[in-house]
Amino acid sequence: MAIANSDAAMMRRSARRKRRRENVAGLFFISPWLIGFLLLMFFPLMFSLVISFSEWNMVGSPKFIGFDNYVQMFTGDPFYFKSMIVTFKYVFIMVPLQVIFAILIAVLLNRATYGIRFFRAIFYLPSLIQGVTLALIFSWMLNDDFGPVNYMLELVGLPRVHWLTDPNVALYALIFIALWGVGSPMVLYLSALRSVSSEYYEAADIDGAGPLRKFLNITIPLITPTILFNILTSLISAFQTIVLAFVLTGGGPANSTYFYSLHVYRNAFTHFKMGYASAMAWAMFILIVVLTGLILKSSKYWVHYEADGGGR
Amino acid sequence: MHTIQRNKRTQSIVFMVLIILLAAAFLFPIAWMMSTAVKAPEDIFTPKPQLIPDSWHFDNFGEAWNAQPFGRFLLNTLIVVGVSTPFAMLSATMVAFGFARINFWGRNALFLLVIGTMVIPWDVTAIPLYIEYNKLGLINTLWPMILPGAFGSAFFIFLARQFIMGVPRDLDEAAEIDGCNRWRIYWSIILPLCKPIVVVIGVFHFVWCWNEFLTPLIFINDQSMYTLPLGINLFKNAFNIEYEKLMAVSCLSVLFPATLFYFTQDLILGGISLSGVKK
Amino acid sequence: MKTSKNRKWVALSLIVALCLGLLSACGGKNESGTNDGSSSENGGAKNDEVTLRFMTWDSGQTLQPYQNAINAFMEKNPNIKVKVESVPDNYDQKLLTSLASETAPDVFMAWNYPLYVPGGALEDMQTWVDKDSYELGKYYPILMDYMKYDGKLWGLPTTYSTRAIYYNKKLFDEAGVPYPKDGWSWDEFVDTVQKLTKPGQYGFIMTPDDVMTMQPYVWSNGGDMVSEDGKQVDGILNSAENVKTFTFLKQLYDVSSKINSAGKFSTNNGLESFQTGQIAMFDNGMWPLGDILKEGKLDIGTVSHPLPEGGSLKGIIHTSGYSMPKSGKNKEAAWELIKFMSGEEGIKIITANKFAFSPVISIDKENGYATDPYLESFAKELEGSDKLIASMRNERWSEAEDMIRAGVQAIFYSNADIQKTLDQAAVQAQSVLK
Repeated sequence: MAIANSDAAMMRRSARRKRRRENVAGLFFISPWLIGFLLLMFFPLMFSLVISFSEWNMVGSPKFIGFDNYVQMFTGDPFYFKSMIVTFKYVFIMVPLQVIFAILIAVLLNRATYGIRFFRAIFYLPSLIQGVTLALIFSWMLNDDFGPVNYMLELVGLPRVHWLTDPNVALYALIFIALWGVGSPMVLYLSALRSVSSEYYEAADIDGAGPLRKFLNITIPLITPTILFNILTSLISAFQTIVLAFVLTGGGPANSTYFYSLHVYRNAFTHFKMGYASAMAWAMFILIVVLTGLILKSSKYWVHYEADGGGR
Repeated sequence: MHTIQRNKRTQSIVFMVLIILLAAAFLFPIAWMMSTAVKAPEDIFTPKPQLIPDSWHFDNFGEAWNAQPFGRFLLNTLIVVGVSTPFAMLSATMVAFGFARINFWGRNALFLLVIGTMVIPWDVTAIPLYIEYNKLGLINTLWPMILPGAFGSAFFIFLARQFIMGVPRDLDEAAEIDGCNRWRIYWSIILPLCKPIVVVIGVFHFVWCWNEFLTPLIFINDQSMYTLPLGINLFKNAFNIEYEKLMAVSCLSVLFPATLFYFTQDLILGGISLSGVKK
Repeated sequence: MKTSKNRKWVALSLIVALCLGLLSACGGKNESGTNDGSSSENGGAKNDEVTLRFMTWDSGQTLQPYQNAINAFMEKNPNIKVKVESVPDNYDQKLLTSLASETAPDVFMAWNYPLYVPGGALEDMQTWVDKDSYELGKYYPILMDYMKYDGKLWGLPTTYSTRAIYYNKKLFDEAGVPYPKDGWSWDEFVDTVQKLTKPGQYGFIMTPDDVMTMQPYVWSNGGDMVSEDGKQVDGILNSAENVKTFTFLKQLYDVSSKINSAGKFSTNNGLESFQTGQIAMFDNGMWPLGDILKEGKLDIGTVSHPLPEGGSLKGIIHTSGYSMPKSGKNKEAAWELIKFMSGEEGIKIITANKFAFSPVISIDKENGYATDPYLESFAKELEGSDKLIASMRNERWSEAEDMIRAGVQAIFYSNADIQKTLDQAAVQAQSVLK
């Protein structure tokens, strides 16, 4: 009895020791990020959280007002839901489109026979240009009166399109433009495609699988870790998108491109309502974190890490 | 047999045509940027848009470059990118290894926090961050641009984690049985396998750091500490934009990341085959 | 047992975080504000060299005139060095950030005083004016109103511009339409726009987004957007006069180009289209004039805003002031710089080459702007101008304007009933200003 007891205790102790070792090792490896977080992010985040419960014009001292800002969002701000809807529309059209488009180009490039290094560079090139400059170029290309795009449409006998000045078109124009930034995910997909072992395809060839089946049953499952990454990061950045709307439309016409992030910016630096802007930012934070958590949870069911033997 | 080969050939021709068409669309804005860069100011806005300018003004490049101390801006940008990129590569993979391989307490919550840090818009944290940097005496230095990336940015940690999750675990298990400690496993087994993703992180970080606009805008006051994007922005003011100069310097600025990508793409994509690692 | 260990980690990280927080909180209480290298604690002392930071949204070409004046100032005051910080984008964000952490530049440009004043971050300029018995009578009185809020003076004026309408003579000739003349009517305006509009060409640009520049039309018809004291919108925005004005603006919109070439540069909306000859007329300040004339491709004229029946010309003014932060370290030197830049000497250098109008009346006269064929109309716009733009009357106006803009958009884009929409916008705007 006593012996068995001490055995169990020893086992428990060694398990505990192992756990502790794991904790120390884990902490060690994540320490760069943790230090950076505590040093550079913790204070600003807490600061903005506190500010979100106050009224602050940034030049005076903040006044605590409890949940008023949060109540204001849902009851007293006619632009809140409008900007939310615009943002959701953008996110839920842009993200899937971008993922599909990036995979498509990556697959095409992976199959290309000539000049592959050259083409890769071309597709990545727009991602190398500074955001403001690129937005400036696009605002010019899509200009109603003297833009090359409308000019080309006219040359082939099509009517001019009010890309950025028709409330029904502008948001889609911005989505369309955002696809030019597909370079970074494309590089990731290319890298993922390259690491798919050719054995799988050879095995499928023997089974007589067609190209589409091979793509759906082998390629896609094997690049799901990259897809998960791509979906989450572009979701987050799409929710925060601001540069395009800022330079190209300023939120117009008729607020059709008035993104949530633009509303945050405007409240902060046009209306000088930093408290309200912070509250909006934190409301969005909760929303995105929940969404991210859900997607991460769901990833168990559709993401295959080869290490887990998912690819076999 | 012959039909299969012919099918393959038509298939690849179709693919090439598709690629070329798409590439043309992707090249157009860049071509527009380059053509504007060599136009005379009065040729920039014409009723009929012209991709090929009437007259070529290559002296725009020199004129634009000398309009502001761009040599200095370039040097600053190179310092920022040069110092932060190696750290970004190392810290991201290290942290990712921790999240992917070590089952420590609070791992999932902390990982969600990592991702969460990407979510809070910078607009509302800029002021407290400024206050903090000011107390640390880092305003008007290049540090605010170097530090956040060097400590490991959430995007790259996530990216590297996804990659390491895909590396078969038997490798580290075997090493552990051989008596390797975690650092050895990370340093001599995982990191070499991660080479493509490390290069990706390096390139992406380089590019984003190179083009970062808001961070230097807020934290730098002194023009001698400006980076290239801030310098380029000086061609813009409330009433007009000096398009040809702005585009000329933008072209020159893109050269650096473009060259980097062109010569590292094989490291990311070509040379390394992971099939040897995978069972 | 296990949980207590875990708690330890939490506690430890919290302690680290707290320490850091404390450190950053206590770190440098006595060194807020920047001392730029050589500047001494009391930067006003005569013999010490002082370095001033001067922030402006101008850059490149438009900075040059100011830079010239600054150079002249430094030559005159060898012990004061001025470092220019040019921030063409996100200006307010940058200024607010530095004001919030008490590291603002010693002198900066500002125009939206109602927003900056309530926090108490700006230096009251009146005390400096009084101390030096600085003569304010040399400025246009209306411009000085733009420098005030809450009854106090917050800056000295930089330059100013009114808005007028530019027209492309060639397009008028082609269409056989006579050039517009000062004092023309709203009906003539709509008619002219219509005649000059054909495929690929528009007579004018009108967007619902720029509510601010609609004010001259509103004023000249005897209306206003908000009461003089900036408190009452309901009953003023939705007045019978304004219904008439917005009916006219809607007419104008329907026959105009709808371009909004770049959201950010809305004060300059359509310059490129005008320069490429696709727009026959456009409404702007005098700033692009130099560029347009320099390139010499366009033969243009300028004319003052058209008037409603029985209305009188009431121009809108764009201006800004030089201000300093309350937390400034070198206020003596900063005041010297402001006096120079806003005074006769500086303004003469700045307004050379027709860069902008001078707030000092005598210099404007000397420059002969009232008789310059291109600038005459701009000068006329100033004569009748007796109103402050709405954003100068209430610190919450930008929010109210968002509500009004949404209303104007509904009128323009979806033909909403004008009276009803203005009524609604007035109620919404009123609730913001309360």
